[in-house]
Amino acid sequence: MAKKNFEESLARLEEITEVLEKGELSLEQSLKMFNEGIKLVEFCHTKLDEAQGQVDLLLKKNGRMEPVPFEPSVKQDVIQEDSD
Amino acid sequence: MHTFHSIRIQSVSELTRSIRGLLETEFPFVSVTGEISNLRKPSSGHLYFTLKDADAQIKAVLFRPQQRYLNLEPRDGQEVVCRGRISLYEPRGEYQIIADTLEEKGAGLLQAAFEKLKRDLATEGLFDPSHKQEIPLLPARITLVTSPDGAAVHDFITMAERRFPHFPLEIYPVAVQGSQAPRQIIDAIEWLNRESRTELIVLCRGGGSLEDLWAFNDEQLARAIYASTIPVVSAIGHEIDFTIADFVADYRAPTPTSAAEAVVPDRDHLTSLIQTCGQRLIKHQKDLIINARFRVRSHKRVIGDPSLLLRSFRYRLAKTSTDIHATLSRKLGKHNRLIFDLAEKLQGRNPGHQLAVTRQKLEGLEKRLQLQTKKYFEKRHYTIRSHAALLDAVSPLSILARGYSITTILPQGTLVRESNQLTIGGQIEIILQRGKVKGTVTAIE
Repeated sequence: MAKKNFEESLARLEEITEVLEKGELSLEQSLKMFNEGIKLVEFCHTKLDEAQGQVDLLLKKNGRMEPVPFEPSVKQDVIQEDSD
Repeated sequence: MHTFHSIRIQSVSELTRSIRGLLETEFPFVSVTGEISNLRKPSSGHLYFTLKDADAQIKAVLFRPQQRYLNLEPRDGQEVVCRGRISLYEPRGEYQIIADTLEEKGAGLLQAAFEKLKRDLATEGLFDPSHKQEIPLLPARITLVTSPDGAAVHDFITMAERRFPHFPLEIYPVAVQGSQAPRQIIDAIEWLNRESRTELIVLCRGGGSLEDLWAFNDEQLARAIYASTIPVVSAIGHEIDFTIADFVADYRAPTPTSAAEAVVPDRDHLTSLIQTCGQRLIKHQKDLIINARFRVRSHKRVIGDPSLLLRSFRYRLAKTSTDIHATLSRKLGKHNRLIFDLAEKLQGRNPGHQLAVTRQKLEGLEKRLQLQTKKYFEKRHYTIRSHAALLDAVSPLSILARGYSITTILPQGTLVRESNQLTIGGQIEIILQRGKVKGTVTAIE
C-alpha cells in the first residue's frame, strides 16, 4: 500500500468496509481487503495520536522565525519587535 | 424713513412663507458633511439631529419612511454625509435639512473602490471555485496569521481545543489593521509557503468597521492568497462583513470561532468513525469465515468421498480412450481402399500416351510440308527464267543499244512522239544507251 494521507486512508477504509459488507467478493479477495482495512485502521489511529502538540507563537529572533510556547494571557507586542 | 414706512406691512406667517419659498427654490438638493450631535428620536419615529463642524451647525430631520434605506445606525459624534433639501419649519421659524440619506463619511469612496477591485479580480479569475483548494481533513499543523493579542485568536484556540485537544497550532503574528497590515500578512503567507510545513493557513481577525477591515481588501494580499499552495481560510469579522480576502480564500468562515469549527478536526468523531469501521470489518470477516466453513461442510456431504469419485472418473476416461481408438482405425481402413481405386483410374487417363501419338502425327506432317515447299519453289524458278528472256527481247534498252534515243518532256517525263507535243523554250531530256542529256527546245519543224 502506497503511503497515503489520513484523509485518503479514511476514505479507503470506509470504501473497503462498504464493499466487504455488500458481500460480492470471493473469499480470497475479501481476505485481502480485510487485511488492507485493518492496516488502515491502525494507520488512521496512529495519525490521530501523532496529531498532538501545543500552540506555538512564531517570533523573529536573529532574523529567523522561531516557535515559542504561546501564552494567551500575556500581552506580546510582536509588531514592534518585528520592526527592529 | 419715509421709504421705510411705505413698505407693506406683512404678517410673520407671510414673511416666513416667503423665506421658506426662497430657501426651497435655492437649495432643492444639498450634500453636506458634518458630525451628528444632539440626536433624538421622539415617539413620532422621526430622527432629529444637528449637523455641525468646528464653526457652524444646522438642524436636520430624517423622517421615519426614509430610515429603512439607512446603511448605518446614526449615533452622536459620527461623521456623516447627509443628502437632502433645505426647508423651513414655519411654527418655529427654523430652517433645516430634510434628509434623504445618511452615509458614513468616506464610505462611498471606499465602497466604490471595493466594488471595483472585486469586479476586476473576479474577471481575472481569482475567485474561481475551480482554483479553490481542498481543506485537509487532518492537517499536520494549522497556522493562524493574526494578531496574538486579539479576541479572535482566543476564540479560535478555544473552539480548536474543544474539537481536538492539543491540536498542533501555530501563530504567525501580524498587524491586522493599519497601513502595515497588508504587507505583514503577505509576508506571512509567502514565508509559510516557502519555509514552513504547515498544511493550513487561517487569516484571523475579529469584526470591525469597514475601515478596520480594509487591510483585507488589499489587492496584493488577494494575489498572495491566490498564489498560496497551502490552503488559506479567511476568518475575518462577523457574519455580515465580506472582504476581498474572503472571496479569494479557499474557504471563508464568517468568524474565527466558526473557522475553528470548520477546519480543526473533531477528534472524537474521527476516532469513533475509525473504530466503527474496524469493528464492522472484523465482524464481517468472522461471519464470512463461519459461512465459508459451513458451505465447505455441506458440499462435502453432497459430493461424498472424493477418492471414490476419482476412481469412477478414471475408469470412464480409460473406456472412452479405447473406444475412440477403435473408431479411428476403422474409419482409416475404409479410406485407404478408396484412395487405391482412384489411383488406378487416374493412371488410365495419363496424358503422356496421348502426347506421344500426337507427336508422331506432327512429325509426318512436317516432312510433307518441306517436300511440297521445295517443289513449288523449283517450279517458280523455271517460270521466271523463261519470262526474263522474253522481256529482254522487247526491252527499250536493247533498242537504245542500237543508237536510238528516247526524248521526254520535263518535268512530267512524257514521251515525245510528235514535234507538236513540244513548245519553244520547253525543257526536254534525251535518254541514251549510256547517260542522259537535258536541253531546251529552240526550234520546231
